[in-house]
Amino acid sequence: MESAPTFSRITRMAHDDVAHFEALYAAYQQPILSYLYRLVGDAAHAEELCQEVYVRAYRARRSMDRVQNVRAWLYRIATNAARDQLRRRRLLSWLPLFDEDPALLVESPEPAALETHAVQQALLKLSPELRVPLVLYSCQELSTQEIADVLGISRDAVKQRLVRARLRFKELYKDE
Amino acid sequence: MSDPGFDHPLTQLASYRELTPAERQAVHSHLAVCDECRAQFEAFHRQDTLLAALPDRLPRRRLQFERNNRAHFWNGLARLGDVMAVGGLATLTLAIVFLVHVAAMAPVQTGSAPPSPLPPLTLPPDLPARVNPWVLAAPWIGGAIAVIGALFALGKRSRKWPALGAVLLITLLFNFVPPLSALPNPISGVWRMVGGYSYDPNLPFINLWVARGDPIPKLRPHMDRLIGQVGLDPLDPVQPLARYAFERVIQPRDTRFMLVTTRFVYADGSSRVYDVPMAYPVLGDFGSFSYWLDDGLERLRAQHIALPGQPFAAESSAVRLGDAVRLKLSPQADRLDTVNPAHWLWSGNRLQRLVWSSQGDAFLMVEQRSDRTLQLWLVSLAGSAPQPVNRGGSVFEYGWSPDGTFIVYTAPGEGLLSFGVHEATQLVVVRRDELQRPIARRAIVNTSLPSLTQQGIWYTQDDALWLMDYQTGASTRVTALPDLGQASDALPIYWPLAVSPDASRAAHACGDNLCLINLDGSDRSVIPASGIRAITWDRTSDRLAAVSHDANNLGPVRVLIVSRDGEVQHTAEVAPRDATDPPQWTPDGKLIFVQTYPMNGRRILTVDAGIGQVLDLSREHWDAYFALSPDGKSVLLNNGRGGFWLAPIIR
Repeated sequence: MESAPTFSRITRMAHDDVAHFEALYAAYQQPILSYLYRLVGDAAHAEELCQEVYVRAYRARRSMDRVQNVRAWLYRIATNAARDQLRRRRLLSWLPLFDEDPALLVESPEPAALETHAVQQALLKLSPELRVPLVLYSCQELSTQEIADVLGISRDAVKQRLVRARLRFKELYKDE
Repeated sequence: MSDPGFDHPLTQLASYRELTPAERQAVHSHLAVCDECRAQFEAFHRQDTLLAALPDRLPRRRLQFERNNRAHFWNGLARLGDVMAVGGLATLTLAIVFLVHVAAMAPVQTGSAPPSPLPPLTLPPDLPARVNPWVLAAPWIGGAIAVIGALFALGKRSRKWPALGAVLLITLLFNFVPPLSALPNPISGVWRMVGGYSYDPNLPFINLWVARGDPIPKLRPHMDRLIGQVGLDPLDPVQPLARYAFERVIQPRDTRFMLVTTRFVYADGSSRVYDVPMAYPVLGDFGSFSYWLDDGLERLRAQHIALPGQPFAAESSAVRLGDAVRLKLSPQADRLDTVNPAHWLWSGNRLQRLVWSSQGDAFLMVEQRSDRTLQLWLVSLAGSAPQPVNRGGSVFEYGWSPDGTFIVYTAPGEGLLSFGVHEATQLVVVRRDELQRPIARRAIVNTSLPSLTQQGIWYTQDDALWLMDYQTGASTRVTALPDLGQASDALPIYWPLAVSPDASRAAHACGDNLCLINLDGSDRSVIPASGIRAITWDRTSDRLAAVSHDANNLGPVRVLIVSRDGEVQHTAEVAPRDATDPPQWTPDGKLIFVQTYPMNGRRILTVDAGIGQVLDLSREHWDAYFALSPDGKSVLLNNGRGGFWLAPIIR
């Protein structure tokens, strides 16, 4: 899916803060937006969160020099931003407004679209604890080590969550 | 299989993508025999396919950065400030470490000569000669860059800090860094107006507009000529000058002078510091000083040549002076009048007169204030701080009562005698142990010092001889002096008078001649002379020494040795011309010491009272004022540059 610019590449690109950040934005805007969309299931909501992610990243750009993996760093900000916003809005569960997504509101849905809908529904019914590692691994193609960096947990814990997430998703998707 | 664990195959199946080829081979071997795991594997693989097939969201908004040039500038300035602060601190640290290292490698100085103590944390005085000036400047440059950089960096918080940094930068550049410092600016203007600007000549920082010239190139060859020489301050009487270092250049408010603070380092490693004056600058191009007409080393560079009839004392002479030894006085006493550049210059030769107390435990000296008035000081040889004698005003002449209890001096009058005519002179008496409160003040016309004997203070007034009591200040008229010829219009005059220690006979100037008279008015004698400048009786009251000095300074200066009956026993020529101080008799009455100032020099002359032979006891590079000790065994020396010395009289 995404090509991940390395930290050194981004640093070389950056002649000043703005240029540096523009490079970062160009490389990660779409993956981060897709990731947020898969987490919250709402396009407008995801766009709003995406902006929030880059605002936070820009403010913290000076600490980026010490970051080993920029991609994991950005995904961590995105994950935290999503959690924080949901918490602020008292969305205690990650309930999507999936049915209102115009991208999926078609008059004569194709089978593929229906399957996508079912996958998304099953995904959204996963608890955030399981949904985040599964999306990061299967959709965003992060390694288990990167996921561990994003979540601030051990790699073994990530693998354990992946197993639980896959088993739970299997049940939910069957129900769909 | 339903309880997933770390080592369970489910864990490997769930993150199959990360397995190594060997692990995958092992998994596939297991799947070949385990239907349940194979089913899970296929389910997970399908999950991955489904999840990866979820459509990506295409952003409907594009991030647009507003290029804010002002913010860009401030951010750039802050970043520059970071670099400057770090670089400045690094430069400061490295330079200090290097200089301390170089200083530590310097040879240890074990000098025994009197110290000019270095302040704490001072680098060795000869360091500038061993390192590049820019290395010496590096701590200052580094410190300034660090401070300015820190202020620039603080621009992230408030714009006032970079503004302050910019002001500081401009101030430093325009006040310290040539050629920008040649341009007038407000701070330089204040410096120029108030005075007191100084700079380190070893650093490349100088305010060219205030300093207006560099005296170092002019002074350096003069200093080089003193290497290896001995003498009195700033030289040492025993240790030759080994090297020197310029430490500071001071531009006083009086722009006729610049002072170069110079450390004189002697052969034994000891050192002393003096402010060498450069006087009377001549303006060159662009209002800067191109050279100085006079410098503070000219008196030391002058040849020391014996004058006709006044040979230098030799080893075989009947009288000579031994090596001078520094007196250990209080530091304040050592510094008295050292800031007076006139001691160094040819134009100022007779600025000091030392008067030793009869007990030999203290002496009087004067210090010239900035307004050119003289402050009389009582300096104790015990090492206590000097005490001021006159409170304000100035003094003319000064002396001790024979028992050392009272100090008597003449001073410029303060009162108004009549319209437009000021009181000429004040005669003031103070007790040595109560200097704050004068015992008596009396307006007189004569500026010369009254004659001080055990009986009291003898002075002339209204063509008569008067006697004032030390204790009460009460005066009584003793006798008329018909030959005095003293002016009576209250204008100050110098009219020497001396009453014999036994209070039987008076000697005084009468016209150009010397007159003698008994105090009862009898036995008048007139000795022809060409102007009498000073008279001193010996202790026996049998003889007196009078200095005869042509009023127009055309003829030679002579010492007349005269009996109490008026017989001139010897006439000795002590100088071709110019001023002298009062003669000083040794207690045994065999020698007369006279300070002379021929052609603005400073000489120590002695006259053998028995045969009238003259010897010059002064030495090259002494340039000293002197006072004969009360026991007649030594002379107190000082040349106005800091120290007081005692040289034994070898007979």
